Amino acid sequence: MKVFLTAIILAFTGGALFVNLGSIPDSFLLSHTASRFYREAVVTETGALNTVSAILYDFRAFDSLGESTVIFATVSGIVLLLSRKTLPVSSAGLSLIVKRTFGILTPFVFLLSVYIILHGHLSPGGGFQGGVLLAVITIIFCIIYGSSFDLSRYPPQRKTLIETTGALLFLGVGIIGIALTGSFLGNPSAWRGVPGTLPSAGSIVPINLGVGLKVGAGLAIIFYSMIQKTLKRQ
Amino acid sequence: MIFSPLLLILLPLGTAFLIPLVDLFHVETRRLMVIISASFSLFLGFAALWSAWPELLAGTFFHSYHLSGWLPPLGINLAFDSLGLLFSSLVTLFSFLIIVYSIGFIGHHEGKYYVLLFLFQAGCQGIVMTGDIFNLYVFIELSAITSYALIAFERDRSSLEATIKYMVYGILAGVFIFLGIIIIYRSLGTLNIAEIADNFHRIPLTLQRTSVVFLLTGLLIKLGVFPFHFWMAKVYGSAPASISALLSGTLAKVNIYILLRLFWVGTGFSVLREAGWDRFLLGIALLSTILGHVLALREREVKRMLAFSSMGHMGMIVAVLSLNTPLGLFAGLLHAVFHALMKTGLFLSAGYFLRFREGPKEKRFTGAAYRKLPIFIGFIIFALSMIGIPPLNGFFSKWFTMQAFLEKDVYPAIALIYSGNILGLIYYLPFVRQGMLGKESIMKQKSTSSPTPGFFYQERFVTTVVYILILLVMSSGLLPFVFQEPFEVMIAELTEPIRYIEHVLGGIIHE
Amino acid sequence: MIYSLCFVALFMIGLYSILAQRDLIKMVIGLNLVEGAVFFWTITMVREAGGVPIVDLAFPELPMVDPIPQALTLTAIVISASTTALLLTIIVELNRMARTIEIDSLKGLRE
Repeated sequence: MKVFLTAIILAFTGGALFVNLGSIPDSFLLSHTASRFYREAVVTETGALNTVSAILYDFRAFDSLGESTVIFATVSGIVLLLSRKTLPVSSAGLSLIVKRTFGILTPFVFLLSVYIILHGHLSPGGGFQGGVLLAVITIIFCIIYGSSFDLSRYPPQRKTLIETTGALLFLGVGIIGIALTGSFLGNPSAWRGVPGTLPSAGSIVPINLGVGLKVGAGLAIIFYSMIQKTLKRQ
Repeated sequence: MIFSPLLLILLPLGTAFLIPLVDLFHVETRRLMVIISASFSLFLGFAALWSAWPELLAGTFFHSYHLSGWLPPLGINLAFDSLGLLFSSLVTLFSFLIIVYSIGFIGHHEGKYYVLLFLFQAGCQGIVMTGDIFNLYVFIELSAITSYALIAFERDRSSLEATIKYMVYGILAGVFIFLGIIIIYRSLGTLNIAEIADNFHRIPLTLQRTSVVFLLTGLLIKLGVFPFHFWMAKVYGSAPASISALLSGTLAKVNIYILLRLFWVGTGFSVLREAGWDRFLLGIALLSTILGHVLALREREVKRMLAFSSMGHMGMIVAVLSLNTPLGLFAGLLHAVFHALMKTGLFLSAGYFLRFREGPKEKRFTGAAYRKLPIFIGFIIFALSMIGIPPLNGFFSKWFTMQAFLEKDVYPAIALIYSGNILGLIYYLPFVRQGMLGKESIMKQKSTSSPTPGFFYQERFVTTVVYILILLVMSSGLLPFVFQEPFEVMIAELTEPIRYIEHVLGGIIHE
Repeated sequence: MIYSLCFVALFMIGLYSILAQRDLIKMVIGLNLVEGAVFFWTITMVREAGGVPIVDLAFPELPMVDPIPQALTLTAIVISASTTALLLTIIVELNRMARTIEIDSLKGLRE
């Protein structure tokens, strides 16, 4: 009965919401919007082709700093919650066929993630997407080869080191921006290069790299911290 | 101001990033770094307040910073006005006190705890400074996520349950706020708070109200006002005392800031008034005042009692702010500041007894007076201030609150606040009595923290912080009129958002 | 219009599963549904037609859709993924201690 009542109330609320959303104007009420400026001037102002990347790492780079700090906070929180436990490792992986196949595949996964991170200003992708692929390597190590392999090849200390390096790279680019352009996270025009080539778009590329390292290592730490719990029962 | 306000965000952020790195190499250095960085950010906060004071009194204080070098409607800007300065100083002060307290309370072995504290500080500073509504959302989520992890710090069943409860509410609140922001963006095409304030009236009325409903619901969940108060007692009761103090002293006040910034400046208060929702807000806030005080009566555990009392006081602040009169805003801001001082003090002094005693949680407060008398007297002083005994600061804010209600002839509110005071007396007294009981048992019991001589003796950090808070409560009670002039400037900013708009946009964008 | 309808439906289904389900994992799924619905609406509510928001240097004048909602959604997705990861970690820890994820058998969640 209670469930039924909840459903009825939610249905009514949803109907009201739907009706209200119907009055969304067809175009923005302001005529000189940031969106229009970004679309018109993205190449001349930032040197990047991917407008979303340009927004994330240049126009609204401070949001991305906050967002990667959120990941950093999550990683710290999860490590804090799951710490105080001894680390059980497992060397039991999958069969030889799977190990050999992934022995060939894993370098390409790495290559793809680096490609996506470095081409963030030219094509779809960027630090977050590439970083997530980077984290896949840890998952492959843990599942295919066993977590002891991951522990020996890619120890948690090194992951932490990579994560903080990424975070500090982001901050460092911001501070270089103060030195070169006078404002935090500014995109120095001297680094802008020729639009459409790999070394272009100024500070977007190093920020992409920093975010990629940070997200990759951060998600790897999250996965690794969680798997050490589940492996304990083996 | 002699330095950029950005530094107040970047310093804690950079410290948080550096702590894991330093931890890998040398743990002792990290301990030093935590103390140095916390003191330095306190120094920066003081320097900001000191250098801004003349401008603040003159009513011309405004600092903006254009991140990435883009002017306001295009990029993210920091808009640091006097209201922001007030809350930024609160965040700086309380973060410093809590960090110092934690050195004694939690110990030094938990590096990640300090990472999260610094990130929390950075998030709160970001909230009070940013002039971009989506950036505000990002920082709200940052402070929320760090507080989730900090609440679960104890890692026992009760704190994990509390965190889940809080997280479900917190994530929902975040989604509602995001949806409200997106509705505004989709109608206007801007994310800048000043530009939104300038053009909010052009949005179709139904959409205005839809977005306000979502933003307000999200904020009320975060504030723990009446229909959404379920998480409060559980969370405040299960978190470590330092984190409960941080939540009720700092995060709740930052949420008050968001409320003021969004609904007084961002959308303009007329949206609420024309829909009649200011009355509604007043009603639920008053309901949560009385409910909080009544629910506190039956609590036998000190932190849960403080949580319900906190709910009562937050309700009172929201109620008096929703009157939207200069006196009401003044009383609300004053009570926000004073309540932060008192409640932090209460949580921290109660936390002292809970931390350095053993046994079940309900019993630990017994015999507190014999464990450490000065801290216990401090607890009584904070409680008296909470009830509103004249020479202490709580009296003044409640006095102005009552006057504000009298001015608008809201007599039930006055009755509720009076009864709140009496109920407060009733629910604090058992704890004072409990603290004076059990002299024999305390004499037999050994102190749990082995006293090692020297300055870094853990307990000393904790007691020092409580003494500082006692001093602040007493002195602000003696000098409540220091706040008068700067608050009038802030109230003028809130009642005339056009000044904020002109400061940010420079009066150029009026289509 | 159809997008708004989908959004409202998803949003309400998510809210329903948060309010009515007695299982923590299902509540997390509900939260993610609510978030997903909002993200979905954010990127589909762009009325101006256009291509992907990446400039083609050969045809720089081609119209593109509003890129801001996509950037905002990307930020919000990362935040939502982080909170979900933290929430799931806490649920896993709680399950290890209490051996259950049913709300009705967890006393602390009902009070």
